[in-house]
Amino acid sequence: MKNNPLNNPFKVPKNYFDTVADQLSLKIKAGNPKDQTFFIVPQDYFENIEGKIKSKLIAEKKETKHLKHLIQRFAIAASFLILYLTNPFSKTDSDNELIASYADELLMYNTIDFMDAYADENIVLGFEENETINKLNNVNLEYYPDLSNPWNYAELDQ
Amino acid sequence: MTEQELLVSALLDSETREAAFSHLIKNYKQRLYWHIRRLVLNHDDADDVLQETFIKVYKNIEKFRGDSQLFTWMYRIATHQAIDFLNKQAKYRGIDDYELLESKISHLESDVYFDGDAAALKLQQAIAQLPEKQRLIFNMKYFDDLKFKEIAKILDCSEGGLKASYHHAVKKIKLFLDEK
Repeated sequence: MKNNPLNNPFKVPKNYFDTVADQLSLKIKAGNPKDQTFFIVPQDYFENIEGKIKSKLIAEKKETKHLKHLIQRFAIAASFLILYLTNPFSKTDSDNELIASYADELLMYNTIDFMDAYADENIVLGFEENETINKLNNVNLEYYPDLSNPWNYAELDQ
Repeated sequence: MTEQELLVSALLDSETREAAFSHLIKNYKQRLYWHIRRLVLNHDDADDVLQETFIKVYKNIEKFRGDSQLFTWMYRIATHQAIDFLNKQAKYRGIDDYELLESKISHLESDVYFDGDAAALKLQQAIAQLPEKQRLIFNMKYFDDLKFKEIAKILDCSEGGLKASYHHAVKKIKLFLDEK
């Protein structure tokens, strides 16, 4: 049977055929016929999602690398401080004060950077933040080795 | 080697990982998206959860034991990510998960990515009033057309229990739609 528009008794709303193709393409993107009546996806969403996922993955890898460097600096600062506190070869009070203030500053700045980085909940560190901070808080920067004790220097001076 | 085994081994190999990951995204993005979307309702939230799901899959592929289909494993990750997302949202707002879903549904009417009528909204309200597990089972069975066997593996429960839950879910939805 040939399609003869002149004999077609049916009418359609104005501009119907202009919009139906758009509606069909949107509904096709809905994926499942049961969803077609309600959920819509932005145009080109599925074409672009791979790029978004890969960019996010790269960004997370960079953040993890940055955090590892911060942890290394933090560990070096803490080691420096502990080494200083247990070092019997420091000679004068002023030397001790200078080294202590430097270590204190280094520790403070690294703690701030460390805490800022750790505040990002996407970063998983794998160790207890509180445990590390508590240990460092317990370090008494006011304590110096007893330099008046002769056994510390008498043998070295010989 | 099966196609799945090939894909998994390609994902584990650093040289082929990126290409395999692209293949994974291409093949599973839509199915996972729609599963997530039905749980979180809003497109932007679904987008976030979908991205987190694929990133989690990428980072944890070595933990895939092969005792289920790869898609089943990914589906399980997507489900947990969506539920966690909703729980965090509810906690942040200081409301329970039912109140959160009610709030999200009330925003659907004005959502540009929602094209449903009053009946569609009513169906979403009916699904939202189900307990979490029944809601998951209903969505997976009714919308995703998954077999009970597959749903049992995703949710780690018995098929018999699932069938009973689905039956109850359908009954509650029908009751809700008839009452309102």
